[in-house]
Amino acid sequence: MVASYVLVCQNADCKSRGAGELLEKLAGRLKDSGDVEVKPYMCFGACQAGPNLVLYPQKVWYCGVKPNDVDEIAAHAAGGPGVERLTHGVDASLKELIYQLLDAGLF
Amino acid sequence: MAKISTFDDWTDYFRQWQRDIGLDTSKFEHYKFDVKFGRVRSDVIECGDYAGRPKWETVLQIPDQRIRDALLHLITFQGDTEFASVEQQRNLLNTAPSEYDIQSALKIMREEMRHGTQMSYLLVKYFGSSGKLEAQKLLERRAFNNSRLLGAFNQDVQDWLDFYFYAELVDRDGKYQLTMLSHSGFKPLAASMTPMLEEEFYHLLTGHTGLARVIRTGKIPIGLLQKHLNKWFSVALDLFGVDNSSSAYWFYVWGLKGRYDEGSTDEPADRDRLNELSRDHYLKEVSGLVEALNKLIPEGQPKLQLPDLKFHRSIGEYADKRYSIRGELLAPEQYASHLEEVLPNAGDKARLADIFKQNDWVLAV
Repeated sequence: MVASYVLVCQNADCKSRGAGELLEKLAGRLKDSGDVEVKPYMCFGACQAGPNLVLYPQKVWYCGVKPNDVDEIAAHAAGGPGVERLTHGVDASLKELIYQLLDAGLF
Repeated sequence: MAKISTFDDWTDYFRQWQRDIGLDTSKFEHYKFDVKFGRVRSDVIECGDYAGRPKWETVLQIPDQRIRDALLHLITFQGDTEFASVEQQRNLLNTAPSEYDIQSALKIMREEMRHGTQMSYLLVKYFGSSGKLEAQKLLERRAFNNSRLLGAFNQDVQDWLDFYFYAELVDRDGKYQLTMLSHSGFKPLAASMTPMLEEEFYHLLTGHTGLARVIRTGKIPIGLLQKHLNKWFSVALDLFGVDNSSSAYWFYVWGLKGRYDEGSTDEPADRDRLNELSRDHYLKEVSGLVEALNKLIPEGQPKLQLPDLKFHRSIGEYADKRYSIRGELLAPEQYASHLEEVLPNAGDKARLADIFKQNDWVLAV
């Protein structure tokens, strides 16, 4: 049973900065972790800060993610420590809005 | 003759405009319509024949009157869209489906007005009497009198379904325009774009998530959504301008407006097809978004489809031609009935009004 999600933005700006590769790599790292699902997300509305991804229900937003961050993020999704350096750069009110949408089941 | 001589005069006129179009100004009294400048991508001109020279910081530094005139034109058009969008959306607050939507719409309207303020500031500060006159006229044209400069901004945004599509498709054109202007050789314009873009992304998100919320509840038939998609997609395509545009050519050659991906592509610019290139980027993005929305539609129901690029265009090669949503050329009488079938008509709007009376037509947030 899926207990948490790694939602990776796949809209144009994030994709142009490598979000497609991030999605694939994270899915590969977490493929044996039955309770974590890696999913594409349509857009988080923070295109300038991308690539963006959100861990849910933990409500942790990572921005400006690069391929060499994938191992640490996968470890966090699997229960390890967070990656604090990637959590800055997105407005708190936007984060709250997105979390509300996710709480409403919009993913 | 301009009624305004200082930016303070313009600000007073702006407050008058808010009242004139019927905005409840108490909703905006605590918001500061600040002029904001952000970082620029480069201190040197990024494209065209002046590439590599320092970006111009004043209009007097611009070496050619034609370039100054073109710059004034670009800023005026951008400013016109900002105030027009508020006029289009001014009646939505009374019919919002939730407090969340009221707050979203207010945020969007505040920021569009701030963007208009930003463009007006550039006009007043940098362009002398002609700039002041243009800044004044930004507050005198009206979307609901069909006098805004671009067709999309004279369309009615009648209800919240229109609004979600508008934010998804028309505001998304805005993202492309602002990004291209962020490469401008006129530094105050380029530096205006970073804060504007960051705010604009929220508007697009509101449109896309609004549509996703509508689809998730399943209360509005997909056929009605498709009709609204047909309407707003064709309107948005026109905003990219005509093919083989000489204006776009000169904006690029003079370094006033770059490509969407200027600086991050190795492709040489095809200066004769700049609008087509922007539209291609947009089309790719919107196709992906429609695909994402379709994943939310339950099995067995029709999926959303973008209409043909030739359908219902008002400018360019296909303007006022009778193409169907599938791109077939129709006879005049066929075309009239086709439009009735594929665009929202009075009956559709009445049906929607009934649906909107149920308070669960859009997923609650």
